[in-house]
Amino acid sequence: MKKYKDLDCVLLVDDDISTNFIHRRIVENAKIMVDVKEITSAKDALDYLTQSGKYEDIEPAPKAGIIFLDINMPGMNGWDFIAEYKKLDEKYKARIIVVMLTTSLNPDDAQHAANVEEIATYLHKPLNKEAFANIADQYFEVLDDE
Amino acid sequence: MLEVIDDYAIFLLDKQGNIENWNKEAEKINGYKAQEIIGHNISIFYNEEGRRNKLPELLIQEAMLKGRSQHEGWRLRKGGELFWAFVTLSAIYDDNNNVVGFSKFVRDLTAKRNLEKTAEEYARELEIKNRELEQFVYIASHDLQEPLLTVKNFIELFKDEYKDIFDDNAKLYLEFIDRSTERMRNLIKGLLDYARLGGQQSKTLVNCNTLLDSLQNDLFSSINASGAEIHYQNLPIVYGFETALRQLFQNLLSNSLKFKKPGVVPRIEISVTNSESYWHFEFKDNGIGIEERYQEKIFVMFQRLHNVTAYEGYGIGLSHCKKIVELHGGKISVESVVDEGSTFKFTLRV
Repeated sequence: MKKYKDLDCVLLVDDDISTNFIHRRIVENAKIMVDVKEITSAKDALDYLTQSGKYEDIEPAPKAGIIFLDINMPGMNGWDFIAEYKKLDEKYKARIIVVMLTTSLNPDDAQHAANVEEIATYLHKPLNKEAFANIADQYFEVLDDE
Repeated sequence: MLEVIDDYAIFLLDKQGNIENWNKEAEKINGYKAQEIIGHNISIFYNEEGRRNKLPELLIQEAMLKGRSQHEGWRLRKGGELFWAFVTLSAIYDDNNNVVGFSKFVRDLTAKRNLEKTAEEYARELEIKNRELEQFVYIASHDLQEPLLTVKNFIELFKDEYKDIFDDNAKLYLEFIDRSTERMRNLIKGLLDYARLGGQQSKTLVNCNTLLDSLQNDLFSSINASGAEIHYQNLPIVYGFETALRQLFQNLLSNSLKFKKPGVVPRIEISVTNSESYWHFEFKDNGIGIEERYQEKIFVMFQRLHNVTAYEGYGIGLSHCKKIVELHGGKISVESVVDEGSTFKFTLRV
């Protein structure tokens, strides 16, 4: 089980419950010590990050280290989320890498993602454990390996 | 006097059709200078086909007998270039009412004809492309349905034959698969229905009042369950595709019933006004409303605003409504305030 510095929580943001389920499994199977939080809408994700709205009363939630963000969501989609995310105070954003996961084979989406500063990288669904492990390695410092 | 007229070329002919005088515009249109052309017959302006068919002679004859003849067709200018002309021959009479000659008006309509031709070609191309698209959607949908059916069949078998062996986890996985395949089935069906809209139907007179009466019957259980009030009166008789129009009203109705405010009795009002060429319908409800930034997005196929756990659906209804309205030459849009309700406005050709 590896532990990374400042990677305490992974946020899975996808409107489809089964996708979040699979991604949770994958993160768990990657043998990295981290909390996994499943969120089903962009709006809820923003509430979680700012500890407001739906998540106002919960105890200080573990700070999100990585956000895996779906593009194709009803209402506020992935791009809408990013637009709002950019406006957030830095304290809500610190140490968060946002990764777009998409089933879309549209090259425009990849191009769009490349142009957005907040997006660290984009991946095609489904997330696999190698990809997740690579991202952890690439963007975070290993603390412990037991 | 002849020199002043600029839009048309006009010149005088003798009884045989020989040119007696000429003006500036005629020179512009036909290319010949006065001294080159006076004395020549108008048959010089006709191409081989026109001359073979004796067109100049026929036009002269008709003008002789009826006092006037008209024609639209190709003419030759000096140098052999063709132009599209609108031509009128008018007989000139002496005091004894004998024809002594003709005046000929010529107008160059080549530019206008080119425009029309392009529009025609464009329309034809569009029709072909549309047909291709519909065929593609139809075939794709059918071919996609087959493997889906296979998946569904074997899920049922799993549920039947292995229900005692499967643990909760396995049952959960199966449930996810089942729900996903069902979703896909409905999305494909939605796509298929969209492609089929309007095809193989003929327009008839549709009484919107009886249409809505019948729909209220169909939707009786949801209307009853919510206690919804639906108001309409003196709706028009529309000339259109009955099945499609029924679908249009049904989608709007069921949406208003589905997206009602919790705890509030749904109230739906349907009204209509008319302008010269269109019926203007307003479909008003008191439901949850739609945020302004989404008021165009909702008409796009498969676009939804809410999670499936909040409201069921596939994001198909309104895109169908849009296509149906456009099939009837109209447009659809929505005005809405969140938490107050939505008014769908659409037009249908009279």
